[in-house]
Amino acid sequence: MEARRRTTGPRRTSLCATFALLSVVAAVMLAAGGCGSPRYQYVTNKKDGAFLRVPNSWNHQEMPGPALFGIDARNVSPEMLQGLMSREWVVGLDAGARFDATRLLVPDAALPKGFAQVRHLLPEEANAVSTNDLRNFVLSVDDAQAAQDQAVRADPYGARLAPSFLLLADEVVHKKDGVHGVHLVYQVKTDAGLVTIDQTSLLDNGQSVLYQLILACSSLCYAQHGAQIGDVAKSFTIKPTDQGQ
Amino acid sequence: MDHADRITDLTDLPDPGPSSSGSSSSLAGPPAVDPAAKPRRRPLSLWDRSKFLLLLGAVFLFVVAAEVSGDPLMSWGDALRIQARKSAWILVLLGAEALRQVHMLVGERWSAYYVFWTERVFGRLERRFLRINDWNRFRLSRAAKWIVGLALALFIYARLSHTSVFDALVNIPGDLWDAIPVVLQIVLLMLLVVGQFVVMFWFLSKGGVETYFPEDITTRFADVWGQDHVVSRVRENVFYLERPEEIESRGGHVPGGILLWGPPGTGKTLIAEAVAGETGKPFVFVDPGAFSAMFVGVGLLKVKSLFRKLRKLSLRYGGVIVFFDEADTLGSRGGLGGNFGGGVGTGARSFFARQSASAAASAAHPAQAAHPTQAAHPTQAAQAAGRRLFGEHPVGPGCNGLSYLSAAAQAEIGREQFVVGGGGGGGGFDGTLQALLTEMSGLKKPRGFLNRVVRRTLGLRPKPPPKYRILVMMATNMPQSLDEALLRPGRIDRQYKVGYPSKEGRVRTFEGYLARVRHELTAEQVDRLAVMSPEATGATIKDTVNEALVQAVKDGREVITWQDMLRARVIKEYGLADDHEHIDRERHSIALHEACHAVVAYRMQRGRVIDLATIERRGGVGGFVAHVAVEDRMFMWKSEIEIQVMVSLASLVGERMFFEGDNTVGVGGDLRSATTLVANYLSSAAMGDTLSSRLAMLAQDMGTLSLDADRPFGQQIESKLRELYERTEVVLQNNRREILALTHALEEHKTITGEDVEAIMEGAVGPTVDGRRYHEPDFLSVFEGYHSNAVSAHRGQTHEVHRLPELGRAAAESGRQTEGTVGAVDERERR
Repeated sequence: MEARRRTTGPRRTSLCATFALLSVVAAVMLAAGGCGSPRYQYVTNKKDGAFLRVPNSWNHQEMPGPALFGIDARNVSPEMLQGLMSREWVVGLDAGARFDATRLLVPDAALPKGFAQVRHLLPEEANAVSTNDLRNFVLSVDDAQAAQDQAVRADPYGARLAPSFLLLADEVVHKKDGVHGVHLVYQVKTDAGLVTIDQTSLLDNGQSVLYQLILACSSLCYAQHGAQIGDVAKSFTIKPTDQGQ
Repeated sequence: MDHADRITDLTDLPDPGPSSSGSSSSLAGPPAVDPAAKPRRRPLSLWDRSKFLLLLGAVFLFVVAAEVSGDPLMSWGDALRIQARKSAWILVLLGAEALRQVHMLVGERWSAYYVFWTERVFGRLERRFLRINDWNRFRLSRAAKWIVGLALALFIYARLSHTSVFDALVNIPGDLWDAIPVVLQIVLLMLLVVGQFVVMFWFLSKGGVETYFPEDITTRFADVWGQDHVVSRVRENVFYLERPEEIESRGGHVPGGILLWGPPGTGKTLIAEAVAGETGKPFVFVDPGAFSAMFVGVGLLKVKSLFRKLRKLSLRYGGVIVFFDEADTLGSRGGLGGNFGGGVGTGARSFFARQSASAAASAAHPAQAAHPTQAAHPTQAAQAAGRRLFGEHPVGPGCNGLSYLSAAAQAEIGREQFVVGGGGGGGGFDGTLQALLTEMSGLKKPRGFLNRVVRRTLGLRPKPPPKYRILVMMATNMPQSLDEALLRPGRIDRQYKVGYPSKEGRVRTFEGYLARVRHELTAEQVDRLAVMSPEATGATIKDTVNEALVQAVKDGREVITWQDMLRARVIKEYGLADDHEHIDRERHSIALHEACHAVVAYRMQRGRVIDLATIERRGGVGGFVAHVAVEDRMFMWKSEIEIQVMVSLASLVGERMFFEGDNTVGVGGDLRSATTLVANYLSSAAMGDTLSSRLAMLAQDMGTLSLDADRPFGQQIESKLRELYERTEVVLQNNRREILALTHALEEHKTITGEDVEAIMEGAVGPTVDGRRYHEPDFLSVFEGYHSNAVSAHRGQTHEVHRLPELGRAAAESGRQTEGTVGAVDERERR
């Protein structure tokens, strides 16, 4: 009897602790699995320090080949291509239901598409690049603006009513750790209709790594999803590392 | 599930602590404390309950933290949700563990639940599993392990090749096909590495074995002289090998092995050679060193390859003989080498113990002068015998104390120093000997791949091995270093001692070798030579004849004379004397000492004749008298032992008699042998007044018992020696003339043969000495004068000894008188 009485205390404690433990486990599992999917998808390149957050409904996928923007592909030798591939990180973004790598930059996309890329510049590129050059990486913005101005001078009303190029936003960006660049939003007239492009081009402090986020869709689409695109562009965060080289 | 599932402990005892989780009591065990209580699971401690949950929880937290870390955009909530998908397996395990803990907890509380699971679910499974027989259970578990292993390998392969498990499975044949070149390369590489060793060992395992065919060998049984009994037995074995049906049709079997053993040079190898020459079967000769190899295992390979060859030859020619020369190199695992003198033993061991004792005894014969110091230079046989018999016992310088003893007496004295080499060559420990034993009489197993595998695959029984008729012959002069297992019937069935050749054989051998040179020896002289050399072997006879030829050629003669033979024998048997000149006084005393030995021996001994008497120094031995046995006897009589002792004591008696009670220390060796002989035979052969065997008592550790408290053993020896001393004195007193005559002859010639001794004693003409002059009337007075001169020089009264008197050449008639007197004394002594 003595022994029995003595055992009562620890056994009760043990039981309570067990229940507590099991409930914690249940809570964790519920929190983890039961509350549905995450709000965002995270496009992350921890090696180069590029982070992006896109809505959960979007798709993204790392692209195998280099996106040779700003480089004349005819001058690229196989060795150079190999080198470029090792220096490039490109992720395609697609708000559509299915990710389609071949249709990332079509002018008439009904839903936002685009890509984020990190590229380690070749020494000669790094020496030549300037913040102004960043503006013209997708489209020669300054030339287009000049052509538009020219058209306005020739036909002030017509050109203003139906502009072939319209710069909606043009801001210089300065972020932490000396990351700097430009953020442009512009509308371009193409055969397929009006396209709106949201372009963020950044350089690190040493101007050796280029970070770019390009999002594009038809102007109608932009009118509908502009806020979403703005959120994504705003989340584009750079934490430069020295590991990239 | 866990072991704890099967716990049937009912006690309400306190929690036994963490260690209890692993320990389970048996399923069948009845409730230990209260049989009426409902069985429940033994409660687990909190730590045991939570440890896996905590571990899995910590792992999950870690992966979530890793997701958040370094990403400025990531929120904890999203990280948790992302990892819940990415690392779902952790949550699954966590859930399973939680479920298990719930199951355990219920089992601890609710008896019916617990019983349901342990008895109905797991118990039933277990009982069902136990119904499968052991072999099937083993096969099932083996299959399960294979399946799990393959599945795991497939999973890993799929991850490595970035495909799904199903794709990987489908791709496997194609991938394997693609991998064939690589696999072949690896296989080839391994073949090269293994092949190196194979080739190396193949080369190492060659050699040392030669095969002869009858026409290659010209030696015949007729060439083996003096070993007729052994030859006839060996022929018998070869006969059965050649006509196995003679014995096999009657239900017997062909004897498988012969061991020829005996002293070196007795013709063992010659017999084997004759077998090779006479038989119609191939003869395989194995070199003594064939099985000693640099690497362990090569010997074994050699044995195997040898027997493969033997089986092939045996099948092809219907039989084969294999001969291992110097078989002691095969080695021994110990056994036969030890406890040789001990009489108890069975089988081969006792056999050799018996034989070797007599061999050792007979080995002493040629040595006649088997003294350790003397053994340094005489013939090889004498050396061996000297070492074997007397070990390293030092005896003071002087006359050889044993040379006049019979072999048995010598063996008796040396008995306690028997040092018989055991062990033999190495090689017994690397498997060579064992392989040989197995090959000689191992498992009779079917051989060959076709026979064993293919026939069995087709459902046939393998053919039993054919009868391989292999006769193994071995020869050794160290039978005690052979392995006992080698000598058992079925391996070496027959052991033949190839001893020293018979007298007829020796005569034949002498005649054979003498026929090749020019000589003038008569048939009687050859016969006498044979008598004088009881231990001669073919090799020593050949050597002696050659030495005689050398002596003749040295003297510018072409023909060997009897003198040459005698000189050759002395050189070969006793070695060359030192180039040492005794000073006159010492020469006289040594000559007298030896003359006393010789006279007592000549007058008293039966069955043995004097071979040689010399006062030339050989090593530490001033001189000696050597004997040969003319009969091959096994036992000595008590009276003969006494005569041996008297011969030993003669030197002491004589020195005291002629030198006014003085004696040299040269008698030390004689006294030692006399004492040892008396002590041994007193204590073992009832030579004295008591009957009990003191030696037996010593062997049984009863040496402290006193046989006769009033008369200590030492006194008995002393009184026996005293009695024999007095008898010797009488003999010497009666032969004063002969002693002086021999002394003179020894001083003059240094070395005289046994025939000379006989001539001097009998007044006849010997080969080197004319004995008649010693029987001239004036000899005694002339030589007594010389002797008293020597005695006074010994006393120190004069400082120079007169010159040794020259004796006239003419024979004197008066010699015969002395002979008559001596004959009378002799008769008296014998009575």
